[in-house]
Amino acid sequence: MAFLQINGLKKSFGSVEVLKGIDLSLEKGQVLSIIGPSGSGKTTLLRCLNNLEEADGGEVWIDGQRRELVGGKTFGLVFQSFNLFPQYTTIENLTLAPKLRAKEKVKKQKLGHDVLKAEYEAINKRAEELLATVGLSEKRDFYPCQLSGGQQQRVSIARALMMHPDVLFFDEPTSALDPEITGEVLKVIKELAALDMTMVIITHEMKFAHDVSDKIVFMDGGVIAAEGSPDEVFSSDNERLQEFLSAFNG
Amino acid sequence: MQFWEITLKLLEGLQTTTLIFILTLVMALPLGLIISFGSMSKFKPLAFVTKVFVWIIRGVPLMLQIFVVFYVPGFFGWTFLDRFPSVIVAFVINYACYFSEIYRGGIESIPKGQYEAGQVLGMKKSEVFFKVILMQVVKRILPPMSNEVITLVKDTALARVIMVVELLKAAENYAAYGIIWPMFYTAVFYLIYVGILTLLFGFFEKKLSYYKI
Repeated sequence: MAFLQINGLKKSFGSVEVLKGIDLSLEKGQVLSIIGPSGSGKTTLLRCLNNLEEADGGEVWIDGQRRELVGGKTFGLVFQSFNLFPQYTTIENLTLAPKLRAKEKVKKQKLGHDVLKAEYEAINKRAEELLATVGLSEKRDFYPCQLSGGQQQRVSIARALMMHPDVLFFDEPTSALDPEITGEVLKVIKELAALDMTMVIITHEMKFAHDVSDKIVFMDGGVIAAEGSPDEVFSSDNERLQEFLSAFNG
Repeated sequence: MQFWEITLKLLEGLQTTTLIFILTLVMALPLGLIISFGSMSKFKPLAFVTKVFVWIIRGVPLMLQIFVVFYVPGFFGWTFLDRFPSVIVAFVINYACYFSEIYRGGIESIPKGQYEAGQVLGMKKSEVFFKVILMQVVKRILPPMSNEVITLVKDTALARVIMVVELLKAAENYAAYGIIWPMFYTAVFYLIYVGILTLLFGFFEKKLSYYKI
């Protein structure tokens, strides 16, 4: 079984079947891009995998364990609209959730205050490191409203990485950005790929998908209409896929 | 000399006014939050009952509600609440309902993405609410809240309908002796009161202006 294995994932909203049984697999350290027209079910798939929607059927396995049963194994999600917490600085956005978990752990195991302090220090250190990774160390004390869209998205990538996700998902991470800024976010994602981060990316950036992915999936009408290596998919003779791709070549 | 005597008497009335004001705020602010949760509940019957309750309270004059609290228990042979507690009960319920609608508007205006971001980071629902959502709600509702709180200052004058001697009633008592000017003099007290509150809310709004929602 692959590192990430999805079997027969289904989801309907009312009488509309949005996902008609999705099967996917991805090995550790690989990058999968999902492309396809609006309404094809891409975002719903990601939302189901991250428990933001409840799937109607199917299984998700991560590293040999069922997703529901997984304890330490986590997913991370980067949103199209960043969703940073506006009242917190960059560094606080990164450390908020991990510190809450650390506090809970220390309380549960009745550990001392010094343990909590050490945990907090480790969290702060990791946050600083991740900010350096996304190239925003100098913005650590800025509020989201003081950052550009591209910077906000890089912060939100760092924030997702704070939780040590086994798989990091991206829901059209550059769709809310103007083309000039898109590059800085894509660069960060490429750097993560070079670090062997396992990632699933919904994107409309075809060249980027081609360059960064180990595997590309083309979704259409709630099913996977084509999949394979980037070269296979982009040279596929699937008619619907060609029609979709030609829209990008103007 | 008469001016200072009357001023002192009015300040006594102002004490009662302030007591109504503070007690109402202290109880209605949290009660309003509970009512707003009721009206937003996914359990439809609870949401319905809460909304009907809010409709009744907002749909009937506060003066009438004071009468109801003070007189109606007597119809059933129950013991009367005292005058002052009756005023407090009526004010707290009335203002909690208005606050609940402000809270609801504030809470519902926070984008879904904020909840989802917290959720995918492994935060619990209560953590998301208290650590992420609440501060944003507070910032959003500050302007409508300041409106409501200023209205409350002036609504305290309604307590006089069941003979609770607040500021305006203290002044009105002189009218029986043909001294009318104290009634108009109370405007100065109200204006200073509201002026201080306006400054206070302005200060809080400024304090929260370091971020944008």
